[in-house]
Amino acid sequence: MPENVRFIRVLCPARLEPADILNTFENGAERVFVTICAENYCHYKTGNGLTERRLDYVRSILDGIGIGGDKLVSYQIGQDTSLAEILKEMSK
Amino acid sequence: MIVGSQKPIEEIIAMTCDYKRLLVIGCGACVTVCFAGGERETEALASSLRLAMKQKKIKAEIEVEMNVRQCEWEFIEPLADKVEAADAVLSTACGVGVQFLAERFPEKRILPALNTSFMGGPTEQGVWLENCGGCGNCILASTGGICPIARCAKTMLNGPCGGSQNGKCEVSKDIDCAWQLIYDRLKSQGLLQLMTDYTPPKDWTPARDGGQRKIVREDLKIPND
Repeated sequence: MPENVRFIRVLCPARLEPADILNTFENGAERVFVTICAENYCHYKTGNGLTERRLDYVRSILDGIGIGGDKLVSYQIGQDTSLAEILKEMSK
Repeated sequence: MIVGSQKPIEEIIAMTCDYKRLLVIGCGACVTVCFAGGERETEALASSLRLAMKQKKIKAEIEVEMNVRQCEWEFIEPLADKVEAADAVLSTACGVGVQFLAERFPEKRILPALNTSFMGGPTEQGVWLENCGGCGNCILASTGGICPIARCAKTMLNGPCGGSQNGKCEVSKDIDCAWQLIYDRLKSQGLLQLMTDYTPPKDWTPARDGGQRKIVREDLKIPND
């Protein structure tokens, strides 16, 4: 993994509050990646959908304040491209 | 409870960007329950504003304070020092809370972060509906506990009107016809005669068209002597 990526562990991405994500930007992050469990693998059944909807809400705020919602990226475990490859590409 | 929702962030930024020291005050009552102005939302709003100011290269100090209820003097008073130190206050309370702050601190700019919408409650997670119009003369006893003042688009007292189709209001297919609901409820309770009973015209004098309303309980007032 690239050295300039910091990992913050949470029990489930659906536990992330908008303030948590916004604070991460406030603390200097240029982009925030949220990793989500593979489809149909959520232990809480509805965590994936909840997370995506909440991320959309935060993206709308980021658009409103001029940072851009595209700076908040979700990554679903099991995608064709590995997380490491994406992070390496984006940190160049 | 009082239900509201946060104003668009662009509108809030435009309201607050001229102030160097901004105090954002959350409310722990109704707006916490409807996820509009509680601690989480207030923290997120303050964070959004700090980011927005940074984007605009404006130096501003944005602090957060939580309050049990902004619609009671005794809960506002402990905020006095913080309010005095700020150039402006952004309140995430309902319109009542904003006005209480503005009255207690008349020299200070008090700004609303929410659009206060109605008195109602949640029907499912993330959905709130209006239930009470605050008309000051409750008729729920004769309408099966369903308020036509708040829930009928025409505030009719002798509905349903011709716009009621298949239980829905002509205004929108998403809105139930209040008078269909009233009919169904009274029918299920065996009280349909309430719809045909003679009812005198409703007294609207306690409703809001007569200016600011007031309730006085002499037994609760503290004597001046």
